[in-house]
Amino acid sequence: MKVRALGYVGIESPDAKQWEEFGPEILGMALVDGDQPGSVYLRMDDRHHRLAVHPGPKDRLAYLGWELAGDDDLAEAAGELAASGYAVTEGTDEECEERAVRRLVRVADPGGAVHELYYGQLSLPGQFQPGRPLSGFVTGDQGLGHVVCVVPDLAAATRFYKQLGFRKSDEIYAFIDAHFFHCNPRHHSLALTEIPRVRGLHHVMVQLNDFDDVGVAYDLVQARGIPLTMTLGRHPNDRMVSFYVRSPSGFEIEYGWGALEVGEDWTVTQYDAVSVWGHKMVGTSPPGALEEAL
Amino acid sequence: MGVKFLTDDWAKALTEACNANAKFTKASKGVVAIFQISVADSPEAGGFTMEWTNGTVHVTTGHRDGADVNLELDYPTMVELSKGTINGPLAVATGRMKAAGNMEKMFSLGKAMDLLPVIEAAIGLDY
Repeated sequence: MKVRALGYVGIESPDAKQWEEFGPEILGMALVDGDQPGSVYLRMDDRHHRLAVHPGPKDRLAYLGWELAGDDDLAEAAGELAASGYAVTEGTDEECEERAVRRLVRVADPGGAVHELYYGQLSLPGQFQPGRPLSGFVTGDQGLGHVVCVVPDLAAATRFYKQLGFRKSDEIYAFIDAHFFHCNPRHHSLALTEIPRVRGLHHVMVQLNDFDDVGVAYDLVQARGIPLTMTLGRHPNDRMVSFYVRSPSGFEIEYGWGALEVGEDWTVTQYDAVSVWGHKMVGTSPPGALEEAL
Repeated sequence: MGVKFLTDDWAKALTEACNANAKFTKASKGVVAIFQISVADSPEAGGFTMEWTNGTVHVTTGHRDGADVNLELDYPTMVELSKGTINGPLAVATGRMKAAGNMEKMFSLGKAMDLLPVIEAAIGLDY
C-alpha cells in the first residue's frame, strides 16, 4: 500500500463562513463552489479543492484525504486495512461527488480520527485564480502540504501510518515531542505528537513558491489583527521558514517557504529544538481543534 | 490521614515534593513563569499560584495578579487532574478548563505538569 500525498483536509466548524474571507484574502486560496450548503471549499491549485470547511457544532478535524495512484491501489489498500482489523467503509456516490473524487474508502485510525483514501480527484488545469496576488503553492506530487496531528497513542498511530506506506523523516524532542513522516518528496506530509486521550489537528501547513508571499501574508495578518501564534522562524528539520496564524476554526495554519525535499536515501535524525531561529510563541490561547480520543 | 487538598499544608507539601523530584526539576529547568489557577466551587482555597524559577516551583494558595498563564476550572476537574484521571490538554479540549496567557511558557512546562499526579499521589491527599 502506498499513499501518494495529502490530497485534501475536511474540517467541521461553527465558523465555516469566516473562511470565505480568511481563505482567499489572507491565505490566497480560491473560493470555489461545492455541493454542500454552508460548506466552504478552497482551491490551491488545479485540483477541485484542497480544504473543505463544513458547518458543525465544534471545531474539529472531520477527515484527512490521502491520495492513491488509482483504483487498483485503492482496492489493495482497503483490503490490507480490513485484513488488519480496521473497519473500512466505501464512500457513497454523493460523498465522492462532494469530494470530487472517483472513489474513496473511509477508515478510522486507532485514535478515532477519520481518513479517506481516494483516487481520481477532479483536476481543472488553468482555473486556479488566487484570492490575492500570489506566486502559487507548492503542491503537485507533494500534495497540499502537511498536517500535524495530536494522537492519543503514538506507537499505535505509527503502526497505522506505516501500513499506509509512510516512512519516518525524523523526530524532535523539545518542549513537545513530534515524529515526522513522508510519503513523497515533501519532508513530511504528516507529523504526530502524543497527548493521552486527545486527538485532533494542531496545524495545516501550506508552502508558497516565493518567500515574498509569506512576507505579504505576515504583514496582512498583523494589519488585520488576526491572532499570530508563532512569529516568523525556521524549523531545523525541514528547513522551512514560516509563521503560524490561528485559523477561524481553532487549529493553526503554518504559512511557509523553502522546505527541503527527501529521497530514497533519506536518513532519520533527531533534533532537540523546534526552531533554528524565530517561531516565538505569541499565542494567548491553546489550539482549539482537539477532542477526546477513543 | 492525608494532606487536605488545596490547603496551605498541601501547597507546602507539593512544593517540597516537586523540588525533590529530579525528573520534575529537569522538566522545569530554564523556565521562569507564574501560573494562576482559579478553582471554582472549591471547599478549600479558591485558587493557587505556581511560581516557577528555573527548575524549582513554589506553590501558594490564593490569587496573584499579573500571572503569565491563567487557568480556570472547577473543583471536580481539579481533583481529576490531581489524580491523573484526566490531563490538562484533555481538560482544555473538552471545555472543562480554560487556559489563557503565555502559551510558550505553558507548553514549556507541560512535561513538568504531567508529573504532578504521580508526585501528589506520593504525598497522599484527602480530597
